[in-house]
Amino acid sequence: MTSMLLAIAAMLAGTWIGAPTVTPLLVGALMGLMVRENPARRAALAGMLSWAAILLFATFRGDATGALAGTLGGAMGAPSWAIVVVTLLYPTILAASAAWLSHLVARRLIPSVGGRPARGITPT
Amino acid sequence: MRNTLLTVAAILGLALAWPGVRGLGPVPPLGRLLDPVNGAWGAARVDLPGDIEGRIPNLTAPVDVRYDRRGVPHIFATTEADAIRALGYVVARERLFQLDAQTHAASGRLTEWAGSIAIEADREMRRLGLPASAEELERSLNTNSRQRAIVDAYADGVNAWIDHLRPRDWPIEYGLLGSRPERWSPVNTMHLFARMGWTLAFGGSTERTRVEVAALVGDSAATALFPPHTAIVEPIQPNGQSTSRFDFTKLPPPGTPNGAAKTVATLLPRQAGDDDVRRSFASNNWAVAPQRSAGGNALLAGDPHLDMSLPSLWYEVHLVVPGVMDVYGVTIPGAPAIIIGFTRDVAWSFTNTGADVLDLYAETVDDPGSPRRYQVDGEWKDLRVRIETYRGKRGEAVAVDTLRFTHRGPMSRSRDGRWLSMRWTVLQPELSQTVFLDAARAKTAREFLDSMAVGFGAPAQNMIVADRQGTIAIRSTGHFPIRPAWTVGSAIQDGSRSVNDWEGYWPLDRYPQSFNPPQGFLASANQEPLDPKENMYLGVDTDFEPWRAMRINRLLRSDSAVTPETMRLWQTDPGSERAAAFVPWFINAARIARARGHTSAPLDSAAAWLEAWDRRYVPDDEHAVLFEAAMRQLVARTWDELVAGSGRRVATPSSALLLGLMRDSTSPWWDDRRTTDVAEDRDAILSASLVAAHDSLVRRYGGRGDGGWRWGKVGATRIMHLLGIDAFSELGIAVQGGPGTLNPSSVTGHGPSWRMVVELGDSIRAWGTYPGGQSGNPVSPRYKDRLPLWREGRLDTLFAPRDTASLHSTARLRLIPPKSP
Repeated sequence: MTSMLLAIAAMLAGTWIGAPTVTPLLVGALMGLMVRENPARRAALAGMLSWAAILLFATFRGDATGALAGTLGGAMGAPSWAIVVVTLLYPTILAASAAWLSHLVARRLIPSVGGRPARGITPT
Repeated sequence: MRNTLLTVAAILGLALAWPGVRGLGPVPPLGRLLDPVNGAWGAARVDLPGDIEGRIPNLTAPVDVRYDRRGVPHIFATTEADAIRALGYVVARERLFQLDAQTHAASGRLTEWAGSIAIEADREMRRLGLPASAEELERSLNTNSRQRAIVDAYADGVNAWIDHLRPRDWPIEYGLLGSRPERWSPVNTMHLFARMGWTLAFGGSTERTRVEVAALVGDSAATALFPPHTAIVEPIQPNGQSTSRFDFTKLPPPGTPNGAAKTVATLLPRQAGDDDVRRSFASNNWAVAPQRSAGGNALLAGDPHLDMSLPSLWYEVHLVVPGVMDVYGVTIPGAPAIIIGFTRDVAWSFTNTGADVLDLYAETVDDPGSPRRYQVDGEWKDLRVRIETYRGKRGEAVAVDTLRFTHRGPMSRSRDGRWLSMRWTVLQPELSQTVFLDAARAKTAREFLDSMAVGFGAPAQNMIVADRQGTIAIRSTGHFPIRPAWTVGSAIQDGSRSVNDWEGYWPLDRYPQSFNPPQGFLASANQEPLDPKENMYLGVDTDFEPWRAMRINRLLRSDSAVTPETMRLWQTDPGSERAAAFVPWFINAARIARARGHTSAPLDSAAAWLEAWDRRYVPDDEHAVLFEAAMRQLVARTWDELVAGSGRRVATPSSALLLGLMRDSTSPWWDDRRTTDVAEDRDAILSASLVAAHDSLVRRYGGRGDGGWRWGKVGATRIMHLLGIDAFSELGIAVQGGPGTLNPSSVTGHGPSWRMVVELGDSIRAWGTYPGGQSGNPVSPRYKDRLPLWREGRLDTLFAPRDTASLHSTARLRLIPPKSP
C-alpha cells in the first residue's frame, strides 16, 4: 500500500513538473525493481490513478473537462469517453511495460531482486 | 508462453515512449497532448479569473482592464502606448494561437507546423514578396518614432502574456500541432497588414483573365467581356441619379483565338478560388444624414464580409486614454488599433474598393536561366536577390527558393524562360502603423478621412464616416496608380522601358468621395466607385457585382425616416436585385417555348415554381435553390466558349454583363457549341437551363416539398476553425440571405464578419456582433456564444463607459509595471 501511494505521489509530481512520459517510465521501472508482487499491475494502477486524480481534481475545480473531451473527441473522430480512456491508458501502459521489463531483467541478472515471483504475471 | 507474450507486449508498450516524446508523422507528441496537467487538458480552464494582476515590461503606469458581461475588455490607461501594451496583452490572453497562426500564414512559415504539405501556400506568400515587404517596412521605422513605439508596445503586451504562460496554459491547438507559442515580434504586425492586402487587393488575375480569354475568343471579345467599367451604374460617389443606370452595349461575337496569348497566360499569377467565391469577398456600409433619419441624428451601418473563421477575425475592445482617445470597436489580433468602430464623436466602417493596383511587366534579363541583371532603357541593372528557406517542424530545411526583385517588385519566371515583375501597392511600405490611432482622435468626419488619407496606402478601402454634427461622408482611400496614358492596367507592360512605369498616385482630390450629398445618404457595397462617365480607370468590372449596391440604395431611397432598427434589419435583408433582374427572363423563356410548341411538363413545372417565388432568400424558402441552380446552368451554357481544353472555364464574365446580353436574343454567345446541328438562341438556353436545374435538384435533393430544397439547408454557411477541424467549427448555419443579397451567405464560409449600427446623437448609441465569440478556446462558452445572435440578424448593445465607475464588470485585470530589480 505504501509503495502504491509513493508511486502515485511520484507520478503526480513528475507529471506536474512537465514530464508526462518519463515519469511513468521511471516510476514503473523502479517498481519493477523494488516491488515484489505484481509490480506491473501496481505500476499500471499507479499510473492510471494518478492521472485520473488530476482529471477529477480539475473537474471539481470547475474545469470543463467533459466539454474538452467532447471537443477533442470530435477533432479526432472519437467519442468523448474514448479521449478519457486513451488519456488514462497512456501512463498505464508506459508504467506497466517499464515495470514488467525492469523486473524481468533484474530477475535474470540478480535472482534475489523482486522476491518471490507472483503467480501468473511475474517472470519465473 | 504467456510470459513471452507479455514481454513482447511490454516492449511494444515501452515503444509508446517514442511517439510520446517525439510524435509520429502527423501525430503530435502524445505525452504532451494527453498530459492532464500541462497538455491539451489545460484548455479546460475556460473562465476569465474574477480579479487578477499582470505585469508588462515598459508599462509606465498601471492599466485597469474591466471585462463586461459580453467578455469585452474596457482598457483604461494613462498613455497611448500603455493602452496598446494592454491591448496586446488582452488579445494574446484570448487569441494567442490565432496571433501565431496568422503570422505563420502571412510570413510563409506554415511548413514549420505542417511540414512540406504547406509548401505551396508558403511559396505563394513569399514569391509575391509579402514577407519581404513587411520586413522592409519594419526596418524602415525610425527607432524613436511613434510608429516604432506603438508596434513595440503591442509586442510588449503580447510577450508579457506569453512569457508568464506555463505549458498547461497554452491553447489546445499547440498540443494538437506538437508546437509551442512563439514570442511576438513587431514585424508580425506588418505581416498581418500585408496579408490583409493580399486578401483584399490581390488583383493578379486581371491580366491573366484578359489573356486567357483572348487565347480562346480573341482580343476584341476578351476586352468586351471584361470591360473596365460596369454595365450597371450605381456608383459610390453619388452621380445625381435617383435610380440605377444600365449602360448595356452589344457584345461582339467570339473571335479568332489569339495563339500567342495562350503561352503568356502560363506566366501570370492566378487568384485562389473561382470567380464566384472571389466576388463574395464583399462588404456593405452606408450612412444616413440627420434629415432622413427618424431621430434627426446621423446613422451609420457597416458589415465587412470576409472569410469567417473560428475564432473570429475580429476581437471587440474599448480603449480609453483620458484626453487622448476613447474608441470602441473591433481590432484584428495583431493590429495595434481598433480597425472599425466609433468614438465619442465619429463612427466609421470600410468596404473594399477592389481597385486594380497591381501591374505586370515583361522584363528583359541577362540570363533567362539564372538572371542577375535586367534591362531598363538600354542599361543593365542588378536584380536584388533574396534567398527564401522553408523549414520543417524540427527546423530542417524543406526547400530553398531564390527570389529576384526589380525596382518594381518581385519577379517570377515561366516555363518558357520569360520573366515578369510585379508592381503592387500592397508591397509599397507606406502604411502608417499609427493611422488608425490618429484617425480615432478625429472630432469630425472630414478630420477622420483626412487623417486616414495621410497614412493609409493599401488595400484601398471605401471609408464611410458619420459624426455627431450630422456630417456623413465617404472616400475611397488608398494608393491608386497613375499610369502612363498609353498603358492599360489590365495589360502586361514592356518592362525594358521606364516610361511604362507608374508616374505616382492619384492626388486626394481625385479620390472617389462625397460629403453630405443632397440625397441624404451614402452607401458602398464594392461597386464601381465612380460613374464611368468620369472616365477614370480603377479596375475591371468583374471583381464585384452591383446587386447589393442596387439593393441598399433602393432601400435607402424608399425610406426618409430611417431608424437604427431599420438599419439592423437591412443588414440581413433577404431581397435580391439579381433575382428580380433574371427571374422574369426565365419565365418569359418558358412562355416563348410554349408558344413555339417546345414546352414540356418539367419546363412548365419549373417555370411555375420560379414564378411563385417572392425572390427572398429566407431559410424556409424552397424556390431560391431552383433559381441558383438555373443561374449556374445558364452561366455554364452561355459562356461555354470560355472553356479551355482542360474542361475548365478560364473566367466568368460578370452577371451584370450577362443581364445585358439578355437584350440580344440571337447573339452568337447563346449558341451551345456542343450541339452542332442547331444554333440556340437566348430563350432556348434559358429554357434548357431551367429544366436541367430542376432535374438536377430532384436527383440531388428529392422532390419539391420534401424539405430537401429548403434554402436554410442548401444555402447554409459554415464557419471553420483556423486549422479546419470540424469539431472546433460550426457547420450548417442556416442564414437569411443568398448570393447578391445584402447578407450573402456562402457555403464556403465568406460573409458578414462584423455587423455594427451606430446612431450619433447627443451621445453615441451603438449595436453590433460578429459570428464567433471573444475567446479563442474551443471549449470556452465564449468561443462562439455570439453565433445565434449573428445568425438571426440581431445585434447586442455596445456599452462604452466613460470610466470604470459606470461599468458593472464581471472580471478585472490590473496590469502593472514589472517590479524594480
